[in-house]
Amino acid sequence: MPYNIPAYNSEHYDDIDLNLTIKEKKERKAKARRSMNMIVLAGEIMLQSGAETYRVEDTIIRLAKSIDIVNYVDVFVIPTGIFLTFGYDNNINTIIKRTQIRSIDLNKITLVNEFSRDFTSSDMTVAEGMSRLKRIQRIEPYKFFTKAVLGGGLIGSFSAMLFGGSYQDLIAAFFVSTIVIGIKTVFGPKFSMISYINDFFASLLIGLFSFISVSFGIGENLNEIIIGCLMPLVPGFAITNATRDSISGDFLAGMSRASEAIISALSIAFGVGLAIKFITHFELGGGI
Amino acid sequence: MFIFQQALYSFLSTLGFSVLFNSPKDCIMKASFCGMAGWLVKMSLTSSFNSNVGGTFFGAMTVGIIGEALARKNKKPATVFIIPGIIPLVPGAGMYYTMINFINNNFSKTIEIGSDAIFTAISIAIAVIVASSLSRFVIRGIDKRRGYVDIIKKRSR
Repeated sequence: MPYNIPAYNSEHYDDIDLNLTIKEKKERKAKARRSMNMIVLAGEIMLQSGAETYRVEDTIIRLAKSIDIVNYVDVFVIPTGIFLTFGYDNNINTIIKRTQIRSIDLNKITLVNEFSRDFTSSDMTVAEGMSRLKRIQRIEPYKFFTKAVLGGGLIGSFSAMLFGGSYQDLIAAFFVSTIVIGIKTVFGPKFSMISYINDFFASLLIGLFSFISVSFGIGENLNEIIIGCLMPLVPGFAITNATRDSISGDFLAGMSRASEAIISALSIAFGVGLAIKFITHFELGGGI
Repeated sequence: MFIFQQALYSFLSTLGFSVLFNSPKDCIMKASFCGMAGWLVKMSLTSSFNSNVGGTFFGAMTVGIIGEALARKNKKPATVFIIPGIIPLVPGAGMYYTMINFINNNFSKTIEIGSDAIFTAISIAIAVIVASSLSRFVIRGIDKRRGYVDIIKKRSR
């Protein structure tokens, strides 16, 4: 949408161009701000749940175009922030929103996507949209037990089988992975806000617990158990999104996601490496 | 029998990934099917190509195409099906053995396995992008033929 920043003093220019009373002008200003808040909230929820950059930008622009007074909109999204410029009448406003990637939540991405489709194709008001977005923001992820057993245990045990483990390894990997993912989801947020440190300690625990399970005779192959249990922590999501963003032209977003993936992979490697070095240094065996 | 086992394992591990990433409840089974298809293609092509990168590329491409088709049918973002589906293809074993060889000062082996792991990871992303741009091309053609126009309603309140 073309927009020319008014050359005159904006109050003067308003008087010439639009025959609006002061009350009407105030109402339009309030409305613009309200819709801006709603649009930024939608973008923030998507970005925090780990959506791709182009999807966030697309959603924000579609939402902004569905407001009648908006005559200009442009947005720049990187994984750590949203920059939104929003023009109405003869004014132009900008919001900078700093965000942090919390955790991957595909449910919220789906819900916001659905919301954006509903909002642009119906007569939903901005206030209704805001309350619906706030409801989406409050939705809790799966319960702790489900996440630890299905999310941790299933991935760990069956990835170990995919990489060539035996049925004994399946049982060992199931327990190790459930315990570690359970510990990570409970103590992780309390222990440190930095996810890399949590990854480091989680992978250290995976190395030690796998070794314990093998030395007690529950598991057979240490390598397969460790690989299976590491799969929930491996930053496959970040690697894919980084390459995807870079290739589609969002180089800044791609680079920051790539550095996230590299640091995460390094912290996991250091954690397991430390555990294995410990086992081999004290000659505890285990067949590495 | 071997293929059946592999299908079951990949199905269940993709199911685990969908739960870990908080996938919506009605998408979990579809995403698991997507991951299973990708893993089976990867398995069969890796042995016939004799290369991990090529097999993974086509496996990820299968995931991408099935995921885009499911996304179009169910009106959900394609990420919901693609992200859990490709994670079993991520070279976790390659990364692990790279690290093990690095610790044991086997640097030539580190480079050998590590470069394979990196290229596999990149091939996954490229395959997903190829699949999504292909599907966008096809969908645009279908929309044009049906005369579909994207309407954005303006609201005054």
